[in-house]
Amino acid sequence: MKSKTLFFKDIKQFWPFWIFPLFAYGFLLLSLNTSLSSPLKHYLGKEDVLYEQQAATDSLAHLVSNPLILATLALPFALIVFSYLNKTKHAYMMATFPISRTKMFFSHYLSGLTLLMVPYLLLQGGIFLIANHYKVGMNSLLLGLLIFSVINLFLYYNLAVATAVFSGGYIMSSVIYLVLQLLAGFIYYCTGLYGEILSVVGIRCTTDNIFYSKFSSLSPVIKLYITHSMLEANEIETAYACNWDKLTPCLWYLIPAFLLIFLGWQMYKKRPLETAKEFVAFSWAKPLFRVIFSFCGGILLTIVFITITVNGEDDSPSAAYLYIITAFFGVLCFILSEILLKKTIRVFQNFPWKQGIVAVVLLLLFPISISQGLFSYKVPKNANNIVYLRIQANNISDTITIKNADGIQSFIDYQKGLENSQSGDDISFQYIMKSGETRTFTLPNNEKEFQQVLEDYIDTCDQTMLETLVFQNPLKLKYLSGISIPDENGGYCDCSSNILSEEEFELYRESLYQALKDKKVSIFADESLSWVCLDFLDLTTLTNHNEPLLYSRYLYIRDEDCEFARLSREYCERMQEIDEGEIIYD
Amino acid sequence: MIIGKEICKSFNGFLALDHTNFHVPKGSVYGLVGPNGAGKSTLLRVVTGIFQADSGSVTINEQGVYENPKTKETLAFIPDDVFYFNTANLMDMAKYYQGLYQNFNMEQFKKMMDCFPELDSKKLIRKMSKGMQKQSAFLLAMACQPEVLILDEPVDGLDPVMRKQIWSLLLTAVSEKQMTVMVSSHNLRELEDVCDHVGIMNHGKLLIEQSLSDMQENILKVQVAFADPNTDPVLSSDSLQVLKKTSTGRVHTLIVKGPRADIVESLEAQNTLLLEFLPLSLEEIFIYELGGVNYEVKDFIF
Repeated sequence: MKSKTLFFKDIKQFWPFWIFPLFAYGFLLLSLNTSLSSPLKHYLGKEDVLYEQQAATDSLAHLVSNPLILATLALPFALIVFSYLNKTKHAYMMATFPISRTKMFFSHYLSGLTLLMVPYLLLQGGIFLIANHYKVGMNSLLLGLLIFSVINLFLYYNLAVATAVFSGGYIMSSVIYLVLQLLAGFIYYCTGLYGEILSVVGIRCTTDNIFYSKFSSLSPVIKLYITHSMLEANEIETAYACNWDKLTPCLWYLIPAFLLIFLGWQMYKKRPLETAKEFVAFSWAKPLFRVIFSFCGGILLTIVFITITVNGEDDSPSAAYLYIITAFFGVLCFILSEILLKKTIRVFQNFPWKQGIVAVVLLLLFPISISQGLFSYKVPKNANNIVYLRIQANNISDTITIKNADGIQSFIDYQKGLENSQSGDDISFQYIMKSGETRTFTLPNNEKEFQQVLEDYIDTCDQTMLETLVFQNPLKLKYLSGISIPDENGGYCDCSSNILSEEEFELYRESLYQALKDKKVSIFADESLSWVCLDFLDLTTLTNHNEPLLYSRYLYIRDEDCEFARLSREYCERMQEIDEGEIIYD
Repeated sequence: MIIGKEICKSFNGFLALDHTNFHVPKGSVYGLVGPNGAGKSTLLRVVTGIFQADSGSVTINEQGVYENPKTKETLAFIPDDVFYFNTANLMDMAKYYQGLYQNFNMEQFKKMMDCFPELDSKKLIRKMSKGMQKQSAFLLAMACQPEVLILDEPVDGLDPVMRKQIWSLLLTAVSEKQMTVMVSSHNLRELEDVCDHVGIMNHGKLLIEQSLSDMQENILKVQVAFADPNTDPVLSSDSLQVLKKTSTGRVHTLIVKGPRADIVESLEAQNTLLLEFLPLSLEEIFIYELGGVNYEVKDFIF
């Protein structure tokens, strides 16, 4: 009865917060309905209309299940239902009521969750109904995204509740929530920048690495953002179906979600009410706050300072300078944390010197450990945990991908040999691990030596492996859609229609294989050699218009008399004859 | 009854309550007085279970208060600065209280509305004046039919008629329902009229706790004149605990602490020409008591 009273009081008090989401959701549903009932259906074929409708539905369903949006949505509802903890008068009044803190916590918790979930579920239900009304046939994907969204909202709401109980004010709650959500990104970003300043090899700050790094689990919104992008099955045959294999691991996030409720509940029971409006509600949290604030703030300010003051690579600061600047900003942030806690600038009376020393030492351990290679990637020992290796060098025209275990192993060995060389850094090895992690190394490159290693590897490849190596997918050549070769006038002949018969195509494929094996064509860029450019369709990658991506690949011809070169010339001549190609002159 | 034993409460190293002991008998009106910052509000918040004491205990009818909904069911609290939900009117609040307090009597609430004719139950409380908000708080608290009512500056901001009205309702409830009231106020003249027990606090400690009549019996204002004009009543008697002495000619006015009989005996032993006891108000007792702990009105010459 008492819990019910509190629950409905919250709903009655805070239902105006529904106005904005309901308005926004209503607008989105109307837009979807308009898109699906587009008058273009009178001009497009039935299949094209369906594609358009699916694309519109998919776009909206992905938008409203985007973890970044869900994380933003969950925070205000947690803050408003527990807002009384930040107002002394309100908190005191609630504490005098004859209801236990446990009941009070869960009443507020459930009212906030209801306020958050009801409009959102109405939106998802609306999308489902509209999609089914127009028979877009995406129920699997919509259901998958709904489950994903509910898990996300539940997790983020619980995290927001825990931070609201932990902290004594809206701003601090929001800051802590933001820090927890983005901690992985922050650590990795800072690690990358410090690694660059300290010239540490094998450490890079790329988007992929933030998403797949071992730290990403620390930040749910980052980890789930990646899962969100992979929820949809990529294969053409199963487009707009849910990739349940990727969704299932998300269920594990229910464990931290429930742990966070437990944590929030326990903190709520023990929360001293007199700490309303304080930055942190618990005295034990103050040292933690000081240390984390000075750690994060020290690193952030150092990076900002270095970015502003250092111009270009030549002006790169020394390690000692970096340590001094880091320590300086660490001390500054520690004092600032004390000012925030005590709400006065006169903080040096009873100043926690010991904690300050611990904070600065911890802060300095960060760049020291980076310089010692603690945050650097290690070259994989073997190919067991590697999905593929991507190599980029300035003497090959495009990235090459090696999926074959023996091939990967041969390049691991080659890389280990390269690491001792100091002759430059223009070859990039990128190992894509089974865990999703990407390990990138930029290494010195001896062009001839690398070319030899790659050609030796090609010698060992069969046709399928060779096609995989050169075109990243053995199927791609099957959908050859055009060839370009240089013409006698210094321009090039661009033939963009595939008129090869099945037999001719097999002949062409065989000639290409032989030319690569016989080293009569090469994937290495060399201006002295003539080239042939193959256009083919990548059926595994769809454009926004649900069409396979058109992909081009250059090959360099060492022997103009080889079968592959002859067939290419023939192909182009034939295309010109039937006037389906066109000639472009530079 | 409410019993507090050895209560300590500190905030960031500041000791607001320092081993405070008190005892509020059932059916009494207990006035808690003390200078600003003495710890009165903190003590009331510990008593109502808002704050958890660092050490010591508070019991109401032998039950703890902190995190004890059963005890809180019998308790109502009107703070000095009342709070209402932004979107609530008085009737909404009454329904809210009805959901939380089993003993909440809606009929009584509606009847008591007649005693506060200016209150509009449909008007948003946040739009009411401070005095009307106080009246609303009192109305809600009384409708909960509490056994114990804790009041922190209850009539602050009320006009004289409403002050009388509130005290009248309060005393009726005390006499008819044996309600226990613990009230903190700086308006000592009003407290004197309603309280039967008084506790004087300073620096987080309870200096004195007695029934008002005992207290008035124990601190006395005496006018005395001696046959020998050179007799000094303070110097001539070791047994007298004189809190303040003023002299006009041969007549000395003394504020003396102790039993009346002992004071008479001690003064008459010095051959008095005049010995007269004058009534002492609570305000005077407060001022003289705290004067003894160096909290007094200081003269300043510009």
